[in-house]
Amino acid sequence: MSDPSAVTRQARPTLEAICVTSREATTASTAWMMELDDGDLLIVAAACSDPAFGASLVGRRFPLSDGTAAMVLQSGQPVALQPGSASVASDAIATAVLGRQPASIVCVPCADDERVVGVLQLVDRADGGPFGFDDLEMLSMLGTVAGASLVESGGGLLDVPSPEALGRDLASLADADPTRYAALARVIEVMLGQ
Amino acid sequence: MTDTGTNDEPRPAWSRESLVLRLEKVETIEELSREWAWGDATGKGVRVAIVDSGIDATHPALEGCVDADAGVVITPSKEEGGQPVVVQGNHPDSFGHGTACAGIIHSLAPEAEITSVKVLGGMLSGTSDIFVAGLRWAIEQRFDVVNLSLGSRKRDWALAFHEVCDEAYFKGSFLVTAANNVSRVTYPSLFASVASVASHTGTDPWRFHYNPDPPTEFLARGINVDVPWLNHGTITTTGNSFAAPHISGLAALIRSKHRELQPFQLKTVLWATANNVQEAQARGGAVQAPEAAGRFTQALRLTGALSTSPRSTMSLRSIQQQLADT
Repeated sequence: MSDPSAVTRQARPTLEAICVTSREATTASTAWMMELDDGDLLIVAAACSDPAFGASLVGRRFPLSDGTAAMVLQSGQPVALQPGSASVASDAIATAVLGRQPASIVCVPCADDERVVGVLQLVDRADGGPFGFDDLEMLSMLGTVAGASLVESGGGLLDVPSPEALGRDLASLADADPTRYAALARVIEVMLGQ
Repeated sequence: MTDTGTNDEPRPAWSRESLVLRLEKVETIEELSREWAWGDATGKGVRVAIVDSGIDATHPALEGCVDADAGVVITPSKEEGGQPVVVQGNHPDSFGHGTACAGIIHSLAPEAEITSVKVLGGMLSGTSDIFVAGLRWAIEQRFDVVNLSLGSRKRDWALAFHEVCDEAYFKGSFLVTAANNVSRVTYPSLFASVASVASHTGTDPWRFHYNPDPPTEFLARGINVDVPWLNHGTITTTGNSFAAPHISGLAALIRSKHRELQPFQLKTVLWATANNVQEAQARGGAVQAPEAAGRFTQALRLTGALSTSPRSTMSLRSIQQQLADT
């Protein structure tokens, strides 16, 4: 696709499922996964009570300079920061994502055998309490699954062409190679008929 | 056999005259007590390096224990393929992580002098070459204890980490690393030349366990730890990152009282003074070391899930509970 605006970036189902599972297991209000992309942290999946809000987070990009996510990505060590702590309130990425200061954060690395490729971050347990060591262990295991998935897929997002962009490509094909276009059109016709 | 020792016993030609070191006032393994190990010690005279995200030396909780001017930042080379550059001088903490580690060590060994080796944060990407360079610098400076609450997974760097950790071992620097939470390879926490630490589920900063099934050898407090953080604040946090400095702090105390101990001896003292070892001895009565080791086995093997084998069926909490029940 030569026109980037003609592409909708969507979360890969595996990564989205990991966010949903981790959020439900820890009773966090919001979960999101970020991958290292061109020196930035890119949100590639998210889950929260409002699906539209979760979808709106995907594709947001943050500098890898400070905050809990950067620390976890660089050190490879998971951490949980507890309610009432000054640092939780000052976590720039979490505050930007939520539009408010979170009460508590847990963040684990997503890694394959060789490197940390992203992080899984969750905020605010339903009971207002801290994320515990059990949360940290469970999320660390999910982080290894996410890491493998991120590496295997070659990136956390799917590039889905918009209908307009797809129409333009088909028109180009009809002009350049009518025979192939006719064959393709026949296939599409059959698929639509089913 | 071409030479004889002072007692005329034959010895190999390559051997050299040496003193047989003894642990002062320790005749049996039971006498390796906590009182012997660090009673009345403060960490005075011991230098601790923290390889991390920097340290806020002005944080009130650190009470001036950080030698800010001696600290270094390891930066990438400006030349393609060049060696990382060591820049000495005061520097900030990018995340709060290093300040937290310093706070834990200072709370246990208040007179130990702490130095920051910054390898994380800002424009640093936490890459393995930066990490190895920072670790190498700390060892060249012959720090007594080096805390590493971070790790690398890159196999290409395994040999470099191994060499530098061996160098530390032979030069007498005691390296303490945070273990991984899951059964994945991380360096240098896998090496025998370091003390690898995970969290136990308790909240007593002086309580630590020995795990007989390496590579993780010790369990220390890492849950709900109150630590200094950025902007002169404090937080409560959880993770193996915060268990390692508890062992570093204890190692600093032991070293301040027993300057002569080499890393392997220091690790042995930590083994002997670990709560589960001490408590197992108390239950079993006064016994000699080999017999004691046998008697401890049943209880201590329960911590085996911290080894490299998959540990999906046993959480740290269940290990802790079973240890308590045994």
